Amino acid sequence: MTTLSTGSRLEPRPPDDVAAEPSSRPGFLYRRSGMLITQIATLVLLLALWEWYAADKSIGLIAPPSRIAEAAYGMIVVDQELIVALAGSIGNMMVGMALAIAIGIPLGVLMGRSKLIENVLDPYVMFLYVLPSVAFVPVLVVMLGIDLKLRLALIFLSAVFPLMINTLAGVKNVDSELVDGGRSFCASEFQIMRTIILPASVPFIFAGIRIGFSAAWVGAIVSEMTAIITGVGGLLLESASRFRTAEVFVAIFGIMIIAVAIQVVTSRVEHRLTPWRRSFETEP
Amino acid sequence: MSVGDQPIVGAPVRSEAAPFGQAIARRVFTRANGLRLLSLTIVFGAWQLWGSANEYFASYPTAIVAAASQNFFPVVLPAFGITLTAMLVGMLIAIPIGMAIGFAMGRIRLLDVALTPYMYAIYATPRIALIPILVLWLGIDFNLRITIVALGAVFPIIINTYVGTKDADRELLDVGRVFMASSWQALRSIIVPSAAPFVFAGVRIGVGRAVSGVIVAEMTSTLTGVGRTLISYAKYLQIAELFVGVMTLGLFSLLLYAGLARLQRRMTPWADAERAR
Repeated sequence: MTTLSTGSRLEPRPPDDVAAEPSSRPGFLYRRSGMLITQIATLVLLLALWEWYAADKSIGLIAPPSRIAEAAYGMIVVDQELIVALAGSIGNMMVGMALAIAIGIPLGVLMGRSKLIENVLDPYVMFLYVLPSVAFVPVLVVMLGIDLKLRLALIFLSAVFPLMINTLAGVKNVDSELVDGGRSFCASEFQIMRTIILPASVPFIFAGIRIGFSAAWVGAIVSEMTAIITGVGGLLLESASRFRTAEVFVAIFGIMIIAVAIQVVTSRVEHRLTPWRRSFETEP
Repeated sequence: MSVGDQPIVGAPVRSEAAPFGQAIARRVFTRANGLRLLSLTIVFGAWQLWGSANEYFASYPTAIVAAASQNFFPVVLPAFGITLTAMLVGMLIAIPIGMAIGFAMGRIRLLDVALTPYMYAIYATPRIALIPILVLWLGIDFNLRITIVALGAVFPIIINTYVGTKDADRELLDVGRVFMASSWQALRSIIVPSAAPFVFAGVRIGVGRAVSGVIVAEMTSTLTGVGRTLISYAKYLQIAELFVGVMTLGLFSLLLYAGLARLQRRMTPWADAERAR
C-alpha cells in the first residue's frame, strides 16, 4: 500500500485506511485531534444520558455513574475489595494459562508433525474444542470438588483447546517445500523444528495464545460465578444478590478492563513478533 | 487463523468419477478413520474398566448408554428444546441488528470514531459478567434467555461486519468509481461481497458465544434448560445422566460447527479462506 503524501515529515499523516488525498488536509474526523474530541464528547454524552436515565430509577435496579464512581472509590482505595478480588482471579488465570501453554503447544506441535498422533487425538480435541467450556463445570464439580483445583482446571480447559488447535493449524500450514529443502540438506528433525516449523507457525501460536487468554479469563469468571463464589466473579454475583448495583457495575468494569487489557497486550505482542500479519478475530 | 474452514476430521475428497457407493466407502474407510476408531475403542474401554470401579466419580460408557435410553427423550431433549428455541429467537434478533450497526460503523465515519472503542470493549468482556445485572432488570424468564443470546451474538456480528465493510478493497472501489459505478452499485457488487465472509464468520462466533451464554445463565439463575439440567444432575450425583447431557451438548456443538462451516463455504465460495477465516 502506498501513501501519496510522503513529502514533509511535519505533514499530518492520514490513517492508513483512508485514501490519501495529497493536497487537502484530512477532514475533522480523520485527524487525531478530531477523533479524540469526538470520543470524549461521546463519553460525556453517554455518561450524562446514563445519569439522567438512572436519576429517577431505583438504586436497586440501576446505579447512576456518580454512585458507581463513589462505589469504585470505596472498593479500590478504601477497602481495596476489588483489587484483592481481581488479583486472586488474575493469579488463577495466569497459573491455568501457564499450564495450558505448557501442555497445549507441545501437543499441538506433535499432532501437526505426526499423522498418527493427530488421528489418535483429534476426535477428543475437536469434541472438547467445540463443547462450550461451561459444560465442564458440573463434571469438574463432581470430580474435583469445589476448591482451587476446580478453578484452575476450568481455566486450563477453556484455554488449552484453542491453543492446541491453532498450534496444530500453524504447524500443518508450514510450507512443505521448506521442510523438504531442510531435509535434503540433512537437517535433523530437531533442526527442522527449531529453524523452520516453529518460526513459521509463530503467528498461529500467538493467535492461539491471544484467544486462549481471553478464554482463560472467561473460564476464571465462570468458575467463580457457578461453582465457588470468590474472586471478582463472586464479588459481582454477591453484589447483585444484594441489589447493590453500583458495586455490580464496578465489578463489571473491573472484569472489562482486564479483558480489554488482555486483548491489547496480546495483540501488541502478536503484532510486534509477527508484523507481517494483520490479525483480527480468529476465535471459533 | 483458527481452523474453522478446514475441519481436521475428514478424508481428502477425490474428484475422479467413481460409483457413488465406492466413493463414500473410500471416504469412510481411511487409515485416519481407522486410527480414530481404534483410539476411541481403547479410551472408551479403559473408561469402562476404570469407571465401573468408581461409579459415583466418573461413571462408565455402558451406564451412560443405559441412562441415555431412560432420560434422553423425557428430560434431555425437552431441555435442549427450551434452550434452542431461545437461541433461534435471539439469533434472529441479533443478526439483522448486528449487521446494521456494523455496517453503519463501517460506512459512517462519525459512528466509527464514536462507537468503535465501546464495541471492542464490550466485545472483549465476558458477557457472563452481565448476567447478574440482566437478571435484576429482566427477571428470570424467556426474555432473559433471549437477551443473553442476542447480547452474546450481536457483538461478534457487529465487529466482523464493521471490519468486513471497512476492509473492502480500496483499489476495487476506485476502479468502480472510474467506471462510474453509483454508490448503490459499489455497495452491491464490491462492498457486500467482500464483507459477507466476515459477517458469516461473525455469525459463527456469535452462535458459539450464545450457546455458552445461555448455559451459564441457566446455571447461575434458576432458568430451566440445558444448563440447569446439567447442574441438577451433578447436584444429585447422577453422573451417567450428567454425561448424557454433556455429550449431547458436545455432539450438538460439533454438528453446529461443521454445519455452519459448510454453509459458509457454500454461501461465500469466493471468500479467501486465509483472510476471512
